[in-house]
Amino acid sequence: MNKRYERIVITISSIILLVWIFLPITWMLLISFESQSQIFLKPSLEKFFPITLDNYAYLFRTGAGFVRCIFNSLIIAGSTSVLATIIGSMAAYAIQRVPMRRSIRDNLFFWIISQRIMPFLAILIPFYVLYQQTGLYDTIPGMILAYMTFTIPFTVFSMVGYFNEIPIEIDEAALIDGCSRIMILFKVLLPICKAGLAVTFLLNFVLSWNELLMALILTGENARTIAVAAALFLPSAGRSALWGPAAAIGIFFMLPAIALSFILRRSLVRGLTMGMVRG
Amino acid sequence: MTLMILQRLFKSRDTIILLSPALAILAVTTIFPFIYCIWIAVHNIVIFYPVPLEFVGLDNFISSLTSPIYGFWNAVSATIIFTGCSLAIELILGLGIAIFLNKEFPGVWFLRYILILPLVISPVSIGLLFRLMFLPGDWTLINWMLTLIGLQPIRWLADAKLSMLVLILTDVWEWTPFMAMIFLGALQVLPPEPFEAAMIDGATPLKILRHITIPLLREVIAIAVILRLMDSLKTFDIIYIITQGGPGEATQILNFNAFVQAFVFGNLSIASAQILILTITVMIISVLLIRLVRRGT
Repeated sequence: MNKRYERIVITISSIILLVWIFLPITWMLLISFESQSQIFLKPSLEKFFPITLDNYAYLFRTGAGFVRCIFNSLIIAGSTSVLATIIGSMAAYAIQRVPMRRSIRDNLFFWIISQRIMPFLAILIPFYVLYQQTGLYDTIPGMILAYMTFTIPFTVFSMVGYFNEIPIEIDEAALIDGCSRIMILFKVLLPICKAGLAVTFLLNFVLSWNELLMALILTGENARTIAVAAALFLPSAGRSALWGPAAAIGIFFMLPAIALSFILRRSLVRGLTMGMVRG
Repeated sequence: MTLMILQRLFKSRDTIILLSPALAILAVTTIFPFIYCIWIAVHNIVIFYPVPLEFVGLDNFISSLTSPIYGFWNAVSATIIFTGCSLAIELILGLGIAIFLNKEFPGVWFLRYILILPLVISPVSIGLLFRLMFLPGDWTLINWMLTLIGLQPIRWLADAKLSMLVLILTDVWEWTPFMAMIFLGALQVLPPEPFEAAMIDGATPLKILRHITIPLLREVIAIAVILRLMDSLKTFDIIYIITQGGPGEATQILNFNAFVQAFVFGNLSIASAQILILTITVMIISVLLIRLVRRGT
């Protein structure tokens, strides 16, 4: 009796959870496949069928603008994550296992991860002024530099956790064999924690791909990212009721992250919760 | 000379090579801009129309705090409502979901997996998801459901309180899984003995929750709340997508208000002053909370 009661509770809770997560996504997915005349119908068979790809075609047809934003996003997110993963891993290695004074180590680590506390705007307003003056405004290198502010701290935090699991004896053996610290990092440690490195890299990519506020302020037409394109499309979508294309952007924009999350399922949990949860 | 001091401090040349790229970039991209932000806040810098540069001391801070045209106190109350409500709901729901998913049953791996989705989906897309559900008219999901149970469609985003409600719901959808994941991870490494003992003594599930689970998780709960609090105060994307701070200024939390002051009205100095007030407040709260957690353990 008790067993059966428990099973019913579990089933109902599972269904609620599934609906809670999937309802908003499904709704947007359905709208993205509707034609302009179907959108304003109440939910029914005619509303959802036949499906059309017009909304997706519309995005790519509206000129090079949208395609260019995708390329910008790919280049910015890609370069940011490569650079941040390398630079951040180096710092993480130094902080985690090279001998130095304890107080320095603790303060360095705390200082690097405390970047997370500061609201972006506190550095963005100066960035805006400086970028206008130096010509970095609306350029891809400028965006990559700006994105370092959150990807490096994240990499340090994440990689310190992964290095922590590798026995220090490995370092010592390599040191005796005459390796320098830098060689140990690149030739020994990073190959050992390939998986952690990959998760860190991909999360850096997703973080940069998803970012809106910095891109909104620091880019104009040239280096505009897809996040900004999606956000700026909305006001015009509201005026002319282009909700279909708006939904298509939303779906398109979330696809890479969803694909990555499925591949990385287990290890991702740990990365996303800043290493507090072991997957 | 500097190199020698650095070598003394870090004991080896390799350490300097390993650390310097990260430290150099962070110095250029955070320390310097932060100091520059303070400089902007004590001058009068307005974009869009030129004004002679003047040192104004703490004027920007004082007028932010006293003059209603800069929307500071309105933003404070919006922030408290938004952050307070969403944090409380996320904490309770997150704990509930974590306890539920800590059981083993067929298909639980899939539920654990889909919980990741709101964490990786871009906040821009999440904003769109909820905007599309709460559009006016009788064809949108929520309004259609209302008509099914015989209610009138509502113009959600035209009403101050309802807009805030939609934003809180969005934030809950986005971040409850984060809480749940942290708690689930903590639950999975808890020792089973106290629970078994309580079961044998015939304690009800509620009593187990109140007297065993929550006390054991206290530290993790505190960390999760601190992390969420810091992020919640920085919320920008979903507000920009769903309400743009409106109707009126009803959903302009501090962070968003500073954005509007800076990049809609062009008043960089007032915005800098406001964001500095926010940053310092967040730092003080974080340090106090971390102290509190440390003392508790």
